[in-house]
Amino acid sequence: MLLEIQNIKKTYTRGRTFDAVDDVSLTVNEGDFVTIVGKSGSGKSTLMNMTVGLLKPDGGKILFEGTDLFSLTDEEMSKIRNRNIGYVPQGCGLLNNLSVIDNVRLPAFFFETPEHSVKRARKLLEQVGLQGFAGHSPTTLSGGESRRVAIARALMCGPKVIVADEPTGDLDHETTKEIMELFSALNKAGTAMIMVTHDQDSAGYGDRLMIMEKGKLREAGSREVTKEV
Amino acid sequence: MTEKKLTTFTLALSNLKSRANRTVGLIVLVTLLAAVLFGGMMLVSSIQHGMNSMSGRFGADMMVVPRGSDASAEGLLLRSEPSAFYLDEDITAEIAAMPGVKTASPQLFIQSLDAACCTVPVQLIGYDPATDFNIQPWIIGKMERPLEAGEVVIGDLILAEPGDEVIFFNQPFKVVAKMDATGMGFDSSVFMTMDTAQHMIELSRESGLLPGDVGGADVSSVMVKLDDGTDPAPVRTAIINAHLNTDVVTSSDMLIDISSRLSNMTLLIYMLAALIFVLCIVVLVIMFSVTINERRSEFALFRAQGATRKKIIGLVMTEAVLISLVGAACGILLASLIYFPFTTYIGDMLGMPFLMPTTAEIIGYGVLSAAVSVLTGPLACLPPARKIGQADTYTVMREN
Repeated sequence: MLLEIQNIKKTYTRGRTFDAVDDVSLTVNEGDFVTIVGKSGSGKSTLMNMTVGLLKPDGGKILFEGTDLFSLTDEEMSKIRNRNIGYVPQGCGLLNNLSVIDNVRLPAFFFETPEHSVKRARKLLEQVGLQGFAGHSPTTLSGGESRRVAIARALMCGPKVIVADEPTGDLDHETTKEIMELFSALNKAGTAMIMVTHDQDSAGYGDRLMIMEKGKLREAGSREVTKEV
Repeated sequence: MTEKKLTTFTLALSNLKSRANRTVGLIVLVTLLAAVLFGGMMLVSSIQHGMNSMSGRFGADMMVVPRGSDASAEGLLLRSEPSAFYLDEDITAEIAAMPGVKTASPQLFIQSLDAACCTVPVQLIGYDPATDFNIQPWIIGKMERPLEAGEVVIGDLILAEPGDEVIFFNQPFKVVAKMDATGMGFDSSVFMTMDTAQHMIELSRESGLLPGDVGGADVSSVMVKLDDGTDPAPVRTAIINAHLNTDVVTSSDMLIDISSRLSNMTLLIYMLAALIFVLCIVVLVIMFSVTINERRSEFALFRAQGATRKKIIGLVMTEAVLISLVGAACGILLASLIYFPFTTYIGDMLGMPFLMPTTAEIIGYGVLSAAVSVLTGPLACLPPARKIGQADTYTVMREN
């Protein structure tokens, strides 16, 4: 088992106290493609960020390959995140003062990778179809190209799982299709995927559809799968 | 660009370049601090050195001058302000005979003219080699024989070299030695024996170049050295009582006055430096806090990519150190550019003995100023950097 979420909980107080994530459990195995859909404010992103150790739950456990993430030191948890979890945030999160290839290499800066980072970054840019863009500034890229750079960056350290938060939120239909086919190919190659999306087309690429409602997560029923997708 | 190694340094540098205006603003602030620190230390040290030089080598316990000329005498000694005042020559022997007086030696001050007759407008000082204890100690080591007629020794700031000929009142004089810097008015003076000076006066009077009130047998001052352990106060009173037309300037009076002015100036300089240091820290803390706040989403993204808190703090601190380093270097360079070419002017303006510190001391002041200035950046950056390291990454990403 790659990832096991056990009864996690997160409470916020914004005027009133509410459970953003309420007693959620989920298991993700190697090769899974889990899609989580739900309305804005349903707790999807909170769940995702706790899943990868960016946000500490108020209760419950998150085990990555059997290790409780929140029992680790900052150094240990950062290393697991760096080596095993590729993160594609909302927007692209590219640094405009770095070239495209340096943005891709960034995770290798945080923890040294065995493979030469420039060589690997070039290979990844080729994999996402941006081989000619290595020296470009991110400001010269289109939305779809930027997203592909963010995906290449998430792949830099050879993660076992990619966590993508609304990766196609602001893209047109054609570009969304390109990105999702890229995710699909990565998943077929063995990388597990957990993706939060609002987009019905994107949700169709997953093999497990989960619905988040008022902090609760549940598997979608067959009718809901049809409706959502 | 694409092949270089990604390091904390290259990332910090790249970030500073991308925020050029902010970076320049912060550098200017540290530059100001470093310049004030280095310039202030150099100024105080130069005056201190001048004082030490003066008290160590002035030699005379007191200086007898015509009544009302004490300020001019101090001006001449400290600031090389050209002066001319005269006493009857007989006074030297009378003072030498007084109880408690070990030696009395006359000096004659003549202002050269800013005219075609003279190479430079300076203070000419005639001294008596037989009794002098004030001028000759400065010349020892520079020439091995007594000064002869028609020869002069020049101060450190006079633009001539041994072997050159200089003209005063249309008369040629041979430069035989150049003094080391004294930090006093001596640096802008030309020295000759009393005989040479009196001969020059006679010839000049004949040609009408000198004012008529200078007598060939006059002296301008009498330098007095007391017997060891003698209290200068009663001797001073005795001289003034015996010669009502005189004033007595004691070296301790001059040193106390200078020392008090130096203390005030040192306090002012250090208060200014402390004020700028505090101001610099406050402004830098605000600037770094604002900047780090603006970059919260960037740091959150770094955390998501696997950056440790330590790494993020290290990155921000490296930027702060780079800013401080460049600022410190610019500040010391700026202070040097203002200070070194204008030391003579600064010394004259302050009216205090002024002597440059040694190279080792200058380097020491540079290192100390740089160290304090370089520390300001990291000190100011640490609190906001620690805050971002502790922030809830997800909250930060959502906020942005």
